[in-house]
Amino acid sequence: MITDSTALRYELRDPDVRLMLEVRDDKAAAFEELMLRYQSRVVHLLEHLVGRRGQAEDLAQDVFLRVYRSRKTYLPGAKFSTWLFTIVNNVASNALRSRSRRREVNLEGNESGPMGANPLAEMATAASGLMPARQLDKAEMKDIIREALSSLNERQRLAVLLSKFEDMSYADIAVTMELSPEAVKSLLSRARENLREVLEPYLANGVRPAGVPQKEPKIERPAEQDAAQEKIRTK
Amino acid sequence: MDPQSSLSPELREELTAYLDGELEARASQRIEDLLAVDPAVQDEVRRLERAWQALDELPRAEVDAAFTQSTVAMLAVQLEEEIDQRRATLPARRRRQWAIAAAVGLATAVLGFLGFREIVPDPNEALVRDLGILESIDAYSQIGEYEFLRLLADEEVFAQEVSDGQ
Repeated sequence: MITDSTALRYELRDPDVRLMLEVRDDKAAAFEELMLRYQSRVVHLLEHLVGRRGQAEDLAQDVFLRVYRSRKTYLPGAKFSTWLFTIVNNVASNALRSRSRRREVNLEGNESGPMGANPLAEMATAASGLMPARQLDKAEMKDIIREALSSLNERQRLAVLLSKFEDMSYADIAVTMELSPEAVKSLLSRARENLREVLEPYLANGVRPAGVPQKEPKIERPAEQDAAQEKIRTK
Repeated sequence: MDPQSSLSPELREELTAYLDGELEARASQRIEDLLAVDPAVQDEVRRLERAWQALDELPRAEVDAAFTQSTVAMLAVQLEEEIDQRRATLPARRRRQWAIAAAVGLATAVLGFLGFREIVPDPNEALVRDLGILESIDAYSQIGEYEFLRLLADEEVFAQEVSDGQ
């Protein structure tokens, strides 16, 4: 139950709450302004939650449609971002649930994708990557970090994303995820520990986790070799 | 053996909360005191921070104006559909409202009638109750006195008449 004083408090403190209240009063410009402020953040969050950019954009649109549809019943009981990310959480959870249902139907549970039961054990270090002195390739590093993030379970991943990229407090994450702040503390501790375990070998020694394929190095071929191959093809 | 594995889960939670700035002053001071003397704790904090900062390498998603425009367009379509649906359901809703109003009116009328009857007595009720007396009013008028009737009753004249009648 949201009391009038709570609503007033958030209205005074949070400019985005004030914008949403304008949306409630059917001011279209306020909704567009909110979208511009949050759309990239919502897509970023969803991209890491569902793992696909295209689907993330579709789901982000769904999130904003839900926001608009619920405008008439909106009452500020939290920061606007907290409320919005609660919707994001629900939308992402539904999408992942329906995806796993489809997977059960189509593949009879044989697939183990990045969002499935992909335990940290799969991220064990690969012996072939033992090259301590090699320079960290930026693109490879992004792949490995993305892989490390996707190795977390859904709840840990969301907590990490909200804490790291949205700079949300444990209390706000707790509201978004419908947990206690203490549970968020434990969740984030385990998540960070898991990330450390997966990333540490790579960050310290350049050892790639097993799930990330090594990128093909670009080989500079001499021009004569190209010319010779071209000759062979044209013969 | 991993030197960090000696740290208890509670301490690990405290360390994470410390790094996230979620500890109160006293708990935070306790961690700082520990960090000053314990190399295993220092190492754990350094590794946690390194992994956490590595997440900064992830590219931030950016969406362009086309995303905003297509979302607003979807919204406009949806609003139109909602308006159409409301229009389509309007006559049915009105009929329903009229039916509800008529039912409420009827119920009020019935309850009002019953209540009125309860409060104001029916004058015919007394006539029906006294019908026997009214039918013999001429005979009773000739007798004239109540005391005489009582005497006849004491003599069981009426009882005899009743048994004769049977």
